[in-house]
Amino acid sequence: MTSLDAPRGGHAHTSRIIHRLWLTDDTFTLDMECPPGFHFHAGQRIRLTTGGKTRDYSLIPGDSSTLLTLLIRSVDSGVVSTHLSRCPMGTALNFTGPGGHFIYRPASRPAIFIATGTGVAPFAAMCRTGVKGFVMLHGVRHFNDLYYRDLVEPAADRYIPCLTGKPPPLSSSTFRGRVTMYLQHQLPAGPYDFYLAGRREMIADVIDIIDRQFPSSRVYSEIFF
Amino acid sequence: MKVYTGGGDRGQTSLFSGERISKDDVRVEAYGDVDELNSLLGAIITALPSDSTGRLAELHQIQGDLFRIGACLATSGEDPTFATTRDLPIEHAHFLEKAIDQMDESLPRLSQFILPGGHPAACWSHVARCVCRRAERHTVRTVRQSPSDGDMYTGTLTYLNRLSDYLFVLARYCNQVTQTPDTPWESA
Repeated sequence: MTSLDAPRGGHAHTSRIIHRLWLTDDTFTLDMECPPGFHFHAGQRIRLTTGGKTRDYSLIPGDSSTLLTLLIRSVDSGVVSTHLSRCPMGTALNFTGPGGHFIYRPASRPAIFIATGTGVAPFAAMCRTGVKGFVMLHGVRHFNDLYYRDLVEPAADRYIPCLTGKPPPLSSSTFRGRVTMYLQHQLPAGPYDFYLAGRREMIADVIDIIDRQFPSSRVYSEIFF
Repeated sequence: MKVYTGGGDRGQTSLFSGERISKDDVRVEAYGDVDELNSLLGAIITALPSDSTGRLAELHQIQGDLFRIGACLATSGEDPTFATTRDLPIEHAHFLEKAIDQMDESLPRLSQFILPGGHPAACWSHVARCVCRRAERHTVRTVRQSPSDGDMYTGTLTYLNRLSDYLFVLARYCNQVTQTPDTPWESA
């Protein structure tokens, strides 16, 4: 969707799991049916309920209009992610949404997308709906954790993996260190539109840097566990 | 999603439209007042006399309107992003006017000032009225500070002005239905 009139509210929906694809040992995508009449903006999320627990996940438009995709990291202690990683195909999923206001807002200021881990999901959704011309910093531990690189890199003016784990294969565009280090030492001064998606600690640290080094910037953020 | 980000630990906050501003900015004061006002409506609802079903529905409607006003105040004029952040249509103020007129019909005509007080719901209504006036003053200052945003808040300013009238009449209504006499002010 490209309209800025975001759909709101917590309407209840039921869907079914169609496909699961493991990307790494602990992270997978889940394709599910798109319920009839369900619309959302790239960057919005749904709230899944299973086993009495609720979790929010960013929606990624599927390869076809009848599919929705979730990017999920399976956590050992996570009731919802563990269930989603093991349940059989065809399992019904109950969710509400879409919700959230983490959508792309075109502006004259350069857009800097910053994600850690599965926080790349809303940016993948934006790329799939035609957003391009941004700088993407994706902070991960290992090279294999650069989910949706194939989708995001071609749409970006600059795609900068920020790796904190073991050295990656040789790549001139790979930064060794956290996204915060890149911001502090590599990003030229100026006002930007920052879009932040990832762990709370990363968002707090990045906002602190923005306040000190990039005055007059705008900040939009979405917290991922 | 977690409630806290830590992004405001050094006295700055993000507007809905992305700008980073100081937490003592008058715009933050304005939507903070609206938040406080909304919480006070919750206190009114808790104290409302038992036979006030119609008032309860009104107050819930007003709480929703105040959420919308808060989102609108937390958005600069440059970013008309969501329906939720657009100014409140004037019909919402008309809704308050109808409610005021309906309550007023059953109230005795006022011939002198009354002291804020009486039934607990009336007391909360008076407190809310004062906070509503403060929200209105801070909204006016927000508009004066950002003249380009002026048109964004026409409906909001009308609504806040009318809401304080509503809360005054609601206080009198609560005293009346609970047979709690208003206390007139006697000048020395």
